[in-house]
Amino acid sequence: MDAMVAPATSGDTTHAVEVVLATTGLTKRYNKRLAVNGLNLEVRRGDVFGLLGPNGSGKSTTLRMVLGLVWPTAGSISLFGGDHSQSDQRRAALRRIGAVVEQPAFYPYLSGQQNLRGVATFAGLPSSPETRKRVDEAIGYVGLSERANDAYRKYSLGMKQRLGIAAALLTQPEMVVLDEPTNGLDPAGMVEVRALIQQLAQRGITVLLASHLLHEVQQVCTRVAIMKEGTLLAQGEVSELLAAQIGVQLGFADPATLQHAWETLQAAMEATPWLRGTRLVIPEAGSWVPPGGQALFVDAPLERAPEINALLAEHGIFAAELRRREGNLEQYFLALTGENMPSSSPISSSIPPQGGAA
Amino acid sequence: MNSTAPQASANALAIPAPSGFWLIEVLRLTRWELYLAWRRVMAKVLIILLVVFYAIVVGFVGFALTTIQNQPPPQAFQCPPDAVGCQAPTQEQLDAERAANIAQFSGPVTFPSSLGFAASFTRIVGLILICIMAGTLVGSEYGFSTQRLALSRGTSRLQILTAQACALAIISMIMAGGMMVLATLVGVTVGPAFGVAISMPSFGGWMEIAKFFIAFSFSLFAYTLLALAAATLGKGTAAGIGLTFGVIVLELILTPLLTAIGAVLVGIAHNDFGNVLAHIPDWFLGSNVAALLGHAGQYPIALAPDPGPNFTFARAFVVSIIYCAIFFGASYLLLSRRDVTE
Repeated sequence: MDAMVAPATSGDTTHAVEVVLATTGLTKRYNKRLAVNGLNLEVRRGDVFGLLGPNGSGKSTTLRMVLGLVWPTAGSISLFGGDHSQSDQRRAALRRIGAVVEQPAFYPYLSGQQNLRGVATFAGLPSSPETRKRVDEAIGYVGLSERANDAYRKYSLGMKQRLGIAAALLTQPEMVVLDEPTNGLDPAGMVEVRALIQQLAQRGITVLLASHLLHEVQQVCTRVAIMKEGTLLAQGEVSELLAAQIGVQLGFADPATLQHAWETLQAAMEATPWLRGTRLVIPEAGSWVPPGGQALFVDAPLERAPEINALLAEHGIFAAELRRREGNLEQYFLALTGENMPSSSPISSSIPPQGGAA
Repeated sequence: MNSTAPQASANALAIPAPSGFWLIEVLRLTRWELYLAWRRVMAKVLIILLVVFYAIVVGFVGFALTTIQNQPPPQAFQCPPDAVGCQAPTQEQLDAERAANIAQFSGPVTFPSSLGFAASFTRIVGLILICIMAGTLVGSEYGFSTQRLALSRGTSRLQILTAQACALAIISMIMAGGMMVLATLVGVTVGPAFGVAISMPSFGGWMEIAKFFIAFSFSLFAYTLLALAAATLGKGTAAGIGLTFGVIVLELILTPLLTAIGAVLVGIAHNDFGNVLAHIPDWFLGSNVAALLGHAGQYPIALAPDPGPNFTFARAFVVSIIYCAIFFGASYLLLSRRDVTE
């Protein structure tokens, strides 16, 4: 496996802050529809960068612009320091990238092996024994050796996805762009892809990953950007973004008590500097679900939990459950994009538009 | 993924460096396009169809020649029993008559005139087949979404288009050359089998064959470029084939129609409009490549059975080249500005 994932040429720590991809005001408009709106992204060398967003948020369009498939309407892209609008610089930069965009596309009447030889040709590699050996190695790496000579059209969806990954890694790229790489893979395959991404990162290879599988992204990504309707909502280190999600979760015996507690804490906020905010949330998976299905999240240091409890008790409010709430990307994402939240929740107003580190 | 893959990065196979030379990469892409064409079942089917249709036509000619060879002496030469002074033809005279008839119809199966016949045949049947091939080759890139495979790896749109055009040029040459070889084989076997003598071309004759081959290939290539432009415009195989056939059929219909209407108008009104109308087909691609073929196959063998429109070689060449430039340029303009979203 390591043979496939060779170290990036400049993957040492001294280049940790080198920006390999930067977009400035990147915009794409399809007739009247604004697909991407003034996107400012920054992907650094060695990042496993997750591009998150619901369907139609502009993730794939962004990746396509980076890969030179879609022309930006406005804004600029800098890839490996080169100006993307200059053909020669774009071509040189793309030679350093491996990519799988949405569903892998190959010639259905050619075998997997023949298709990868074509990819090698597109990447400018000569038709030499070394290239052929490299193709065989890539096919072996994704576990398709036994089916290497079968026509691509006979492959299952998972096998097609594997071939796409093999194609992305064929040229030992410095940066790998993966658009929903686990689509069509069985659970074992998904775990393997996750492991692969982590290996790529260990080798100093930058990974730009678009996905809606937030649990997966949280496990592998170091930095993320969250998009909705073409607009960047947040961007930063995963740990920084999630820090705002850590706090105290209170469960109450009935919705009326919950409402009372929320009002009490809101009123106390002005006089209590450490009490940064409160909002209604859906209880974390595995925790007790109070009547009404909602819990109260208190954005405050965890060590203040006894004081919160005391504050409520002074007003005759007693929590049925008080627990530490861990941040996770899914909740952060849902809060930010305003999807699947309780209708009465004031959550959307409690998160700034560019919440978290930028 | 394969967990048994090598663990040491030192084992990593060195990746050959990309050439970085635009033209070398285009040559590699051209070879890839040719490989794609060859790997398609359709390519083999179209080749078989072309050969089978040609064999059928040659078979008809052979059948006609056999009929002539075996027919009894014409009644006109047989004297009635009571005729006075009538001299029955000698066997030599009958043989000479038969040989003359055979010679008259044996052109399509006798070298070198068989080359001209094969070209005429290919410019109808072969043109249809090669346009299907070209439309499919270019259009399927959209159908399979494989364009992004190349574009996302640093291959430019111009390189892809140039490689496709080069591949189509080579395919046109292979078709023209293949048919000329086939015609040569037919010409040196079938014709002589009926007693027709073949004459080996002089140096000038070989030069004419070479020029004719180039013009023949070009006449096919020009239409494959039309198929390329149509497939690019319509982003699919159906558009590539359909639009090309549309143009070919339109040329076939409009050429005699406009000429006739123009002639009628000139006859009735004696005005210039009729003249203009009658000469519009002179600017069609088909007329100009036909003129090129006519010029290339004129002397000393006269390979071109039809001399084609009476244009100068330079004019026919320039007009044809302009057509090709328009087809290629339009394709590039479309491709370079278009987003690849499939």
